[in-house]
Amino acid sequence: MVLDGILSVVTSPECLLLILVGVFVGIVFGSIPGLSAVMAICLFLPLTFGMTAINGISLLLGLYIGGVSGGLISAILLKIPGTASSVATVFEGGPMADRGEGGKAIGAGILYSFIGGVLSIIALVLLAPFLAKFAVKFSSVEYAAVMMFSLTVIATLSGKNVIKGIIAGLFGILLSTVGSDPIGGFDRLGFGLKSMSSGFDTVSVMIGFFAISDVIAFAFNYAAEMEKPIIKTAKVKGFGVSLKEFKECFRCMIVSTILGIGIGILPGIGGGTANLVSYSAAQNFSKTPEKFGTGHLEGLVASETSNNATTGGSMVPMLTLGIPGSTSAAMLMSALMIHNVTPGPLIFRNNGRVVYAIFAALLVANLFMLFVERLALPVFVKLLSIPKNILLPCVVMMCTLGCYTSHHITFDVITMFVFGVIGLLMRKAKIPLGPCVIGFILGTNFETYLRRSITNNNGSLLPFFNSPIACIFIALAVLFCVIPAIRSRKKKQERR
Amino acid sequence: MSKKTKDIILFTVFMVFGIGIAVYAHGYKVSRPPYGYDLGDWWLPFWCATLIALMSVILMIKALLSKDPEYSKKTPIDFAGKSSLIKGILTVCLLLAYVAAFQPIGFLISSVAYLFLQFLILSTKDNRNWLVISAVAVGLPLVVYVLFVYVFNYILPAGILG
Repeated sequence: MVLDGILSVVTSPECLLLILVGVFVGIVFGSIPGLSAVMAICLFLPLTFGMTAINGISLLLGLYIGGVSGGLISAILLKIPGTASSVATVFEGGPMADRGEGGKAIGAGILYSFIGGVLSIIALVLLAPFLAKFAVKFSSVEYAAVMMFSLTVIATLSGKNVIKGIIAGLFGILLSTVGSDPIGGFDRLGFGLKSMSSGFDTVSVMIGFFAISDVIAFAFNYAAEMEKPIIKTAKVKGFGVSLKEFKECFRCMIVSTILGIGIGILPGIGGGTANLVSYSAAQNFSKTPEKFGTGHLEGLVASETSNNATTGGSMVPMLTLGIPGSTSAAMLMSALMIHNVTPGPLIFRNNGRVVYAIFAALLVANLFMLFVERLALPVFVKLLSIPKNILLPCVVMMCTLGCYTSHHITFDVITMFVFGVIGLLMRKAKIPLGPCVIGFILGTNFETYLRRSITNNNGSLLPFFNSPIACIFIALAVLFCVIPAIRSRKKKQERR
Repeated sequence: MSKKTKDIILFTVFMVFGIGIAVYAHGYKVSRPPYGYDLGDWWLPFWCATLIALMSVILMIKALLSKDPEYSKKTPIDFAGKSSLIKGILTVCLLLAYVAAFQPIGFLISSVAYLFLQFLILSTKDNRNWLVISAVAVGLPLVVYVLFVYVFNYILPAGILG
């Protein structure tokens, strides 16, 4: 059964070709801001109806892996996160590209995406039942504690002016409350506008803040920007990571993989939280935290390893419990069910061949992702040599398209423009955008799980202290808030 | 205008914004009180807005009490020149027009017009290459339109093309 499942993928040229096509298309979708792996899977799902179960799911897995890792391309080259999973990549990849290390940033991103993906698949293969049992122990209390821990990223990313950063984070959380309340469904802060009842689309907000505000700022600063020389991007050997750098980032890589898998197995949280939490953890435990945000390899490693590690993690509850861990996993689950494969506790017994074929397809997809992206690296790097006054308008057009294709409503495009202007004003006022975007991404989940946990426990906060898992996350949240403050005090004392 | 004055204006805006939203959100508590032990839909927006207002007050007091001469020193307006200012304003207007025209005019025509005009704004007589500008402004939207509509079967606004 095991060998049969693996060989059905590895020895089938048709299956391998489908995975390759899936990875390639997935990378294209992931790299265009506004498009995503979910869209790619939606698009190709009907095509799989006429295929065998293994071929169909292999194509979709290729799209999934390609789409998740494709986000690093726009995050590094254009400083626009393709999805919420690539937000932290922008903080390090962008500055690296600015100083001519764009090729190295992409190469390192590809390598660590591959490593994170493969390690999570190994965890999936070896530990799926154990991880599933662990995931089931999480109630709304534990989820709320995880979200509280995730929000400490705001403090970590606030830079020198912590209070301004916290204001930005709170503003982001406030923006996430616009629209329907996640528990009662009441409209909030819509001011009577029907189009506001579903709130602001995450992609539109991110594109507005990062891309549109960039274009407008470029235009207002045109004379100075055009005087800047186009920085030549250095050629990359291999993946741009030396053995010394690999050893230095090894611990960060392992921790980020564990965090990515851990967050991936929790349904409803996903890659958007994983990359931010890993980035924050890497900064707090790094020997050189002051280098984060300036183009530090360790930050990039943390983000890219963890967001690809969620791919294997999100498969665990989907396959073993029949609970999809993310939207992509839900689409994959529907594909399995269409082909008469029912995810759940009996999947290994009833459809073992398909399960092992899925494991093999995931590994092959990661391998293809590594080769395709590495081969295309010189092409990606060429983008950096295009003059900004030509590149930026093209990016705006693609971003507008990406925003529109999410829900096919013009309101998303208007949102993109409005947040572009807000983003520009925030830049002028030196209010950091990162904490605002993070607050927006994490706000809804934070509110949902906090309210659920308090309602389910009759208004009591005691369960937060009775649950060992919740206590650990709350303690980590306090630690992550205290560590930057202690470091800052030590620095002030050293200066005196 | 000094950094101190700019900061005070900024924190005042945030304080007024925070208080306004907090009062508005508190209205939800009155009009639709939470059921059972639920915190209610008013809770998070109210506390976020309140904390924004509170922190703005802290920063405003800090700014007012600051005795740093550099902080109170008048600095010239960060201005990249009249031509850049015009380009910035035109870019904002063009983006607004593009967003407004996207649905009624259609993706293809609005994108071609946007790209062409934006390239003109973001170039000068010295670095303007009409061939490149025209080719990219027409070619890119066309390629993307064909790819999305005929290959990926996405629906894009056709607008006046029907």
